[in-house]
Amino acid sequence: MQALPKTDHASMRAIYEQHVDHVWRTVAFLGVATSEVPDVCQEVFLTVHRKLASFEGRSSLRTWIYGITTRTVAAHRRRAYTRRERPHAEVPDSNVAPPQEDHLLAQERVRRLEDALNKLDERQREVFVLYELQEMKMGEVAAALAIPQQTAYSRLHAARKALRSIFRGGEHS
Amino acid sequence: MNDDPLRLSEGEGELADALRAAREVGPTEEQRAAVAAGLPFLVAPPPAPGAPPAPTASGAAATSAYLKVAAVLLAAGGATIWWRMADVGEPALAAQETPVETREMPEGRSAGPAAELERELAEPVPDRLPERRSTSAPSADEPSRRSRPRRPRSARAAGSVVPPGAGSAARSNEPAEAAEAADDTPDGPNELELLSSARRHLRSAPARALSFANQHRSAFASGAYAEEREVLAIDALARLGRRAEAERRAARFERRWPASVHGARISAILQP
Repeated sequence: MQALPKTDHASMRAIYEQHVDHVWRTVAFLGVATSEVPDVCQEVFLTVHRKLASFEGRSSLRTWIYGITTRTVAAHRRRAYTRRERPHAEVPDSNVAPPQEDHLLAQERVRRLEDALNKLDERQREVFVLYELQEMKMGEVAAALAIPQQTAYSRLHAARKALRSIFRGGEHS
Repeated sequence: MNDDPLRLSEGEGELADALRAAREVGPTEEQRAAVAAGLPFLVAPPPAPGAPPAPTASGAAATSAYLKVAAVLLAAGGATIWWRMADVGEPALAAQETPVETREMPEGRSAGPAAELERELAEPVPDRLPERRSTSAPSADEPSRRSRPRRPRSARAAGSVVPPGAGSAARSNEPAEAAEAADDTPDGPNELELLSSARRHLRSAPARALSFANQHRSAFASGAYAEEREVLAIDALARLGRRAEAERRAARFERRWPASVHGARISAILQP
């Protein structure tokens, strides 16, 4: 087994810079309330920092980080449930970007997707987000979630079926 | 070989449109800064042996300005998601044209951890965050504190370790490591758990945030994140209107960590 390069400040900073957008997007679409996304992202990177020395390269670094991300979100969700707070209580606010027509259309599309994702089983949602949004391979998705690949396929299939039904049925208003 | 199903975003229809739009979602620069402000390994690197004793004037100014921005953002609360529709130049987000996995996981490559990290680190990284060249006064013991070994994890995790040399063998090993890595939620409140709880309650319930920070102080008085704990406590006290206590605690902070990168944030918290 090769030794890991020393995980110094520069390494963690590079890992952070390369993955922060993806981690942010994953956390947001897994249903964490918008105001809590920064905190959850911080937890993810603190865990990555703490455990990087034990990363052995049997999956890609990206897969490993997404595994940590999904587990951190799941733990956050349990805490939110314990506090009797709704994890999806807040709707993303796009007031940072200029109100261009294209932007508003995209915003509405994203909002509709989030509403639909909120109706999914959490386990199906994890597979769907990692595969369809983060464009991981199914083998990587299964590795990140520590599930058999066939299970990942089943969850993806179920998630797609549910989302297609929601979009076709126009449940969103 | 890749027999993965075609992604929905490659098709037509409203769901495909929504997925394509969703891929453009990402943090604003300010939100990135807010995340980075809570990551000690980004804002407070351990001192290199023989490092210069003090930051350059411009470096210190940049650090201060950055922290002020981060502090203001954290104080403002209510993060928002930004749709980066126009920012098509960023490689990480140009996923539709260049799928990430084909760049990061070429078929048949060696999957050693060093190679993996080298590949990750070889990517050009925009220089967004300031470097800190010096550290606070009691920094002599800081590297050892920050890197001190954690207590052993569960027997379950230890039992799943694959023998050395088996690392590149097969995909079937991947869930093993993922399961091993699953042990990242502590079984009792550790430093990060306490600080995370404090941070989470800071805006909505500062009294609870202060309680978590004080629990951290009791259990980890000189812990790896003592500076961050004190900043949270000072912030919570200020939000509770307990200004005199906040100022006393800030004065103690200043004595203990006179060159801390969090000094600017504390100043911002205590601004009248």
